Amino acid sequence: MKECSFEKVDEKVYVETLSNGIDVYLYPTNKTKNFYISISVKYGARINKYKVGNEIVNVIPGSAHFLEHKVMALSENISVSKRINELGSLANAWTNYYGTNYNIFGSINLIENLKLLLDIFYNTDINEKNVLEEKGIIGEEIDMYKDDINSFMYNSLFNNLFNSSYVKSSVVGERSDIEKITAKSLNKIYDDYYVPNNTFIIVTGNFDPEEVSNIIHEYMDRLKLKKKNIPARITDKENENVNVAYEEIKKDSENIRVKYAIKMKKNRFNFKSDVFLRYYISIILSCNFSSSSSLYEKYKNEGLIISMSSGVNIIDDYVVIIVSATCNDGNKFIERIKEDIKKISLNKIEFERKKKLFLKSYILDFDNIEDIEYNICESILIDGKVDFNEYSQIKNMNYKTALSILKSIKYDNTSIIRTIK
Amino acid sequence: MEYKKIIKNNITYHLINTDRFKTITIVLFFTKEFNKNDIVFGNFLTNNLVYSSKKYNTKNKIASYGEDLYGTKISSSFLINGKCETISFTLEYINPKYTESKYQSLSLDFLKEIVLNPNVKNNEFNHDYFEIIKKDAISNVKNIKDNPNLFASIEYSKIMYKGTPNEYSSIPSLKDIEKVNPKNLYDFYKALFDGSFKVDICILGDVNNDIVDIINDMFSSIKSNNKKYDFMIKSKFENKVTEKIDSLDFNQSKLYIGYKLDKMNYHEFNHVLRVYNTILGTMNDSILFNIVREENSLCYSIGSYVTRYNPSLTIYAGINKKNYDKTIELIKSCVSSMSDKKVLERLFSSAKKMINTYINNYYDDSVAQINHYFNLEFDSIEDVEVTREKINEVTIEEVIELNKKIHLNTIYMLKGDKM
Repeated sequence: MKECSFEKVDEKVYVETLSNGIDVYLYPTNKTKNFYISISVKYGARINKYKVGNEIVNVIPGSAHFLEHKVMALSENISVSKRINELGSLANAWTNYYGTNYNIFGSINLIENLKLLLDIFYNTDINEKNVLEEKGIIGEEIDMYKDDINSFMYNSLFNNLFNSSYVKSSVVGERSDIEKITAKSLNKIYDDYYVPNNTFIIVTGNFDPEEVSNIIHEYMDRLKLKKKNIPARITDKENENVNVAYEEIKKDSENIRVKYAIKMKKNRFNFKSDVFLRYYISIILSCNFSSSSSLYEKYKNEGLIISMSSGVNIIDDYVVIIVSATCNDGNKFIERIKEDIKKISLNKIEFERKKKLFLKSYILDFDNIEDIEYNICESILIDGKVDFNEYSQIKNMNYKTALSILKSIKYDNTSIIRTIK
Repeated sequence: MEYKKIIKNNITYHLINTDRFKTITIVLFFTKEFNKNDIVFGNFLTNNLVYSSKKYNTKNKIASYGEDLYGTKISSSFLINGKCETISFTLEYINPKYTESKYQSLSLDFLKEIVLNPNVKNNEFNHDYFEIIKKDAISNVKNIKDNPNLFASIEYSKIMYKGTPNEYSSIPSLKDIEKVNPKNLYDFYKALFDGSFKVDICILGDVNNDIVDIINDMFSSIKSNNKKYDFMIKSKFENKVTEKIDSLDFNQSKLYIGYKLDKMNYHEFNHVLRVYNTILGTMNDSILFNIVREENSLCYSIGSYVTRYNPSLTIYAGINKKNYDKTIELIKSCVSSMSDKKVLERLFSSAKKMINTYINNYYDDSVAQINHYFNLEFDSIEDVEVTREKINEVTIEEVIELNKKIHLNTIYMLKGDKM
């Protein structure tokens, strides 16, 4: 195991790669009595087509999430479920576009919990009967997300911004999608992607790292899993222009919600790191659209907005900037933001102030074991690695680079989604 | 972790000294008996004070200054706590050992500025900002119907807790909003410091004991009463069931089922009920989760919770409207099965262990620790380690006996009319 230290906060993680390709990250700490264990696979809803051998596989939207439900099928795995309960632990799972995470939170007998989680992950029983039964539960989950207007608008906006990208479908898919999912299609994905060298384990909390490492080694030796070629993800060529420039959604609501998005090719920023490109653009957006910006103040004083926020997404070769607002007059807001977004600016004082927020967030990420696990997991899934020197890199972010990124923003390729009464 | 309770000038300081967290949190609590007319004032006041102050007299300036202090946050809220209402101001800043020592005093000064130096002229809150807050408040009320969970829980509470403070939410009504103006809001603000409220100040983090003196000097103008308030509502128990269905344009329907709790002793209420609720609706393999979700595929989310200061148990689920009758029957049978020894035996020991994990989590949760010591002022609760011990002593027979004291009172559904 290699000991890696996160700068500034004196926090250590032990890292190793097993012979079968599984990466292991162990964060021991005595500041808590609990532990958090996860096993994650780098397979999420962004893989909608892939090639394995000579075969091209088209993935039904919602499959990654459906598979998560069937792997973490505790009610079908009575003995494991019973034991997790007996240990007083909580088992859960989540899926996003980048991966799927299975986890157990507990305080009694970490080693047994770890083995149980690995048992869940490696002993699936996905059959037509239990797939059919799961469709009712997932259907209710889909309805729940659809009732959240913000999440519904985001999904529709991404569908409008892109022509062929994975973001055209939500992670959970539609009811019509999940109707098409079968045990065969899920087992195929499981066999192709749930392979050791596409998987990583994270343990955070109160434990002895050497003991945990030994148990993982023993378990994997017994399974005798081997590295496999990970299927190549296929992405269709994406048209640079947005798919739909404007959409209205009928919603019987007092206020109007608007999302104004700009789609740009990533290569125009000529910037190596996606993580820091995201950080720089976030700072630029925050300086111009957050509650500490003068534009926010102006819009608020004029009664133009109830609230406004902004965000940046990097989706394959594209950067998407979104300004969201809740307002009284949608037409007026759109008219104003169209002009004002072209005037966004940045001064050095604001830039340095926003950097402090990133530094704060870095330091506070170590305050609880669930956050530490989540941050390590997200870094691996989205950025491909854990950056132990992020503190210095944030400190070294400079105003000149920010200005150059600001200059590269192109404002003409837009998509707007709004509600109407 | 070391706890000290210090009383100075009638203000009760709760000093929770711990190096567990990288932040320092200071909460000012102002508590008095609930008055429904205060909802709108409490709501406006908490929003106004964190929006602008005399020194940082715009939203932009106040937000920028917080960022400049490494994201020091000040938030404020109005809460109904059983028979009482509490206005709180929370300051959270990063421990200066990770930044610079000056940020400690700057953060404390910032809290003082927000609480004691409001954007007021001629004894009235700044009119421009008042109007902005008012528009936001109106918008919040009108947008409740965009959030099905919020809408359903508000409507459910109106029936379930009728005649008690819990029938109100902390969101004011449109009618009440019209009663507030910059002048009477300032009068309400002044009453915070004139002895009408009991003031508690909780300090949690890796701090020196002298922080109490520093804060006490800062807030020396605040007068606190030393009344003994009690959060617990002793509402009358009626053996009748009310059922109501509303409709809105959503896909999913939200079901809330309320049970009133008959008189329970301390052990039943604090220990047996916790085991009961865990088995029924909070653990992995809870009865509700197993029967309603897993065996009958009727929902994605289902669970239960206890309302401590208005003794009741609520079961919630997101369902399809066509499954209304079937879900209610299944939920009723789940509650009945809490008298079945065989059913309980399967989950009993696991439930206790799960509670043990939750109790451990208390030490990792700064808000839970602050609330624990604050609530001690208004409620007879024991140390968490005593709770752990007592929960281990709960027997299956006690859970079965407790089920006799749980009575169906309210069935509410917000019907999703889209499908």
